[in-house]
Amino acid sequence: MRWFGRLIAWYRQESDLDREVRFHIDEEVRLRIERGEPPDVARRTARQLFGNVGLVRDATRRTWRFGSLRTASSALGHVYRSLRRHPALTVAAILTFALGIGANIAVFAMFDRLLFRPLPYPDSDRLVLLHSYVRRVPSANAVRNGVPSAAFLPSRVARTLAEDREFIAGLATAEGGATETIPAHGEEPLYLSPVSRNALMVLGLRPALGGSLDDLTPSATVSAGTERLVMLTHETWQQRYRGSPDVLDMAWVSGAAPYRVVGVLPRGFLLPTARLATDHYDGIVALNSDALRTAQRGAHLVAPFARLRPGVSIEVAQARIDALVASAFQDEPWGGARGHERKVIVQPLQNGMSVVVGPYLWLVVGAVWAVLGVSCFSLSTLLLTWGQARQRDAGIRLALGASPPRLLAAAFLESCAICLAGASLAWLGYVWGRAALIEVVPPALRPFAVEPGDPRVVVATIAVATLVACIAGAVPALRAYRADVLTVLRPTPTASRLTRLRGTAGLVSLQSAFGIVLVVGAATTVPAFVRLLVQSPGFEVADLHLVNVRHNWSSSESAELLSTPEGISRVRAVLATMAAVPGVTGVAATTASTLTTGNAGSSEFWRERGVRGHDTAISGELFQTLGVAMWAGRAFEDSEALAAAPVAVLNETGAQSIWPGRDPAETVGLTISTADGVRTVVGIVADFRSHPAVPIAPELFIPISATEVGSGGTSLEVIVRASPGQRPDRRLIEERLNATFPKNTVQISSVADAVLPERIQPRFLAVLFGSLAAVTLVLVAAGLYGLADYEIGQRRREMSIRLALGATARDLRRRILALVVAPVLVGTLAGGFVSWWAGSIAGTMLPHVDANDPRTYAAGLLLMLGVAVSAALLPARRLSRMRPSDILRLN
Amino acid sequence: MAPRIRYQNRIELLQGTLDMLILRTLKWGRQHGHGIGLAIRAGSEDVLTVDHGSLYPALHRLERRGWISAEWKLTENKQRARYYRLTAAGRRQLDHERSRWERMSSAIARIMNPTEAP
Repeated sequence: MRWFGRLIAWYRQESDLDREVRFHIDEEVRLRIERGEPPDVARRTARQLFGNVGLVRDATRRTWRFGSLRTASSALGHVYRSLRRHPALTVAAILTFALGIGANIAVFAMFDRLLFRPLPYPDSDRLVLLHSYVRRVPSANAVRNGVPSAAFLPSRVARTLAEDREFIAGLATAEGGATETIPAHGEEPLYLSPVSRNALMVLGLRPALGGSLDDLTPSATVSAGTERLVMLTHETWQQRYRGSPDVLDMAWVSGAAPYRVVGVLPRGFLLPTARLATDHYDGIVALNSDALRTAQRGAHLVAPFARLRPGVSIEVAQARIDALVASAFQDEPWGGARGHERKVIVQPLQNGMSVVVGPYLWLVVGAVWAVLGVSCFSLSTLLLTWGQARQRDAGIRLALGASPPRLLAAAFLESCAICLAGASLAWLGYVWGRAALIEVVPPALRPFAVEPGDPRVVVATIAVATLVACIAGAVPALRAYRADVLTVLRPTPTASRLTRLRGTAGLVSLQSAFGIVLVVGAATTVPAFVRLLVQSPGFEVADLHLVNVRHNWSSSESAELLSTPEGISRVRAVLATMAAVPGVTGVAATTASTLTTGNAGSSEFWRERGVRGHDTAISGELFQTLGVAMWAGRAFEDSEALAAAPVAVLNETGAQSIWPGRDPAETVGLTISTADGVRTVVGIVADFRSHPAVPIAPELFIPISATEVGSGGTSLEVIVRASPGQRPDRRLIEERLNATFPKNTVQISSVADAVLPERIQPRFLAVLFGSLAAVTLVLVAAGLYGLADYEIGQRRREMSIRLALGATARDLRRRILALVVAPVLVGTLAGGFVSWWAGSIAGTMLPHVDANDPRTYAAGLLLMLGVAVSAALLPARRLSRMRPSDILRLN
Repeated sequence: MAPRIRYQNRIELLQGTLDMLILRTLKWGRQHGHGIGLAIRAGSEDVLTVDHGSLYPALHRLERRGWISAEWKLTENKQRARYYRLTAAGRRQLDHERSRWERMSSAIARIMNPTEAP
């Protein structure tokens, strides 16, 4: 209760001082009245003699314990009262700043770990990525911006580097990506990202639970080379296994491979890979063997990284590796033909992890900074107009003895109070909306998001808020500082105030320039995403699953999967088995993952015809399973598909490419010449694509057993249509297949999930630019409304005289509009040029988007002007509806 | 900004002398802030005028140092006023200030009137 006593004493001291000052003035008045002065004269004289009560109070407070603190709290009290006198402006200013800084808090919290702070590994500056490349002619563009041509290293080169103990302390790999494994029947699958066994050791990390990966002896029951050691992420361990130490006993067999959980990764672990496309993963998995020693000749290490010895710089390491590679592989070069240049690139891990997404992230960061700029200018405009509105108040305070530095400090304090209140509001908004925000961010970036309570986020928020408060409050504060009693208290002249608003017009122009950049960004990205959303791939994506059947044959056994009777019978059995699984309503096989990866390149058949197109080998039920309509003719029958019949089906675009202008029905029965001989076109199918972002290309469908398909590789893609809401039972399929053909492993992925990532980046950009542009328009509108309203308030007298002298309401509206819209037009045109320049740079990063479409710019310009006109017109209309006598009465 | 001319018709107290004058005024008995101001003015035959902007901070500073104490009492006109009283420490401080002032004033006098020096 000691603090309560202090609080009472504090309050009593304040009230004692008030009473003491009051007594002093009253006593002076009494004595003067006794001397014969009239009461009102006595009181006025007594007050004049005493001087500025506020200053006396302040000076007295400073002599008390914690006097400066009390003076500051008194100043804050003044700021509070001042803000409370103008609630609408205060709320508008706080919301203005909250919107601007909110976007920055969100982006900073999301990207800080990736862009601005060291990676969470000990001595992370010694960690490097290693890449090899082979090129024909040395060229400066081969490694553009440090992006290597391939994130791999031939194992023999890696072995040579790893043996160089003088410069490299350790070399490991982290491939990125994740493979699925199911620990127990009925359980959700775990997604594990493959790393080498020494990855944690090279990173310098200790597991949160369990031992290190690289000093484990294999289980007694399995051979060392085949055992997969699993280390779960801290999040998975906590959420899925409730932080139980029993996870260390978990072991299972999946696809004939034994898995064992040996530990838990430290909290906030980041996979050290440049492949930020890595989707969600529950842990890492490593083969319990030394990848470098067991790697076969000719093999490559994927995504290798290394730790340099202390004191070895990147440049020194690069020179050493260049020399090592030149001497060790002079006579035995890897990859490419003789005469090609070969090089191993050493790249800091921090740069490597962000190099792919870096420009994309900087685009986002730039966008939110632009919003902060708009917010800052908008706030400055509001404070300026507000400050002008209170100039009379400032004059009275000056007349009563307040010093100009005190007015300066008060203006800054007001600005700081608004910014800190806005920042607090924005921070609370981030806390509340963080989960929704993470859903919008591409999955690869989600692990980098920090908690709202992260000290850097809080400190950065306060720092930015203070900085903006100083910037936005500078002009109003300087005006307050320069205020002169006589000028301020002089009766309001009726002359035009254009000169007084010169600074405000500049701010409005700058604000509009920033605004148009964001509006153009939104106008560029949002329609592209909407097209992506509404554009159908040509088939029903829901309930469609892609089943990858890996047969795990030896390489000699799998050489001719589809071109041998045994292979064909196997495909037949696979299709029959899957069709019999409960919940499956349609099954088809194909040799290419056309539904998930798109078709890169072009086939020989279409190249000969001068167009880019693809060949796809399919089983008969594909179109029916996908739900794609036949325009003409029929699909393959299963007998044709599995018996390599000389038939073909073309898609509509394909038929038009070969026989332009002919009706699809007329092309059925015509023949085409393929590498496998002449084929009869039996049907024309409607166009469809792997996902909405891929353009429609000519497509030739041939039976899956056609000899020109060649080896089916080691896996078969099966497309399964399930009953609504059901997912095919992976374990059941695996069991049934293994009953016929042993050693099968099955992976199931949802086609919708595969299509979704294609939409995540455009969705994120569209949501980002859309929301930022909306925020910007609100900010611009708020700023302009405030400006127009204030200007009208100041010009009432002038306007009423004009109206009385015969000016029309339209004339007045036009004058107000010209005053507000002119700076917006100037700023918008200037910002438009900047957007054009930025668009030509950003256009390369945004596929399917035309960043320099003149129509977009025209629309953006019109939108900005529309907002400006609307914001200015509302108060102008209100004024023009009033009668001159009413307006004069208001004055 | 127009230059502001302050205290043109007053003789400003020397730095540090206000404390001594307050202590000296209180030696005659307890007094409130207004009374102290009047007493200094009357005692100096209207030559010295205490600026209120300095009087109250000085009173509170002296109170915090323990040289004076304050209490609320009724005046003759039945008004509540804050009366200040010299403490024992304040008396010692007054003696100290007085001897310091005498040394300083005689030193200044010697400089200003060298021929009259003893």
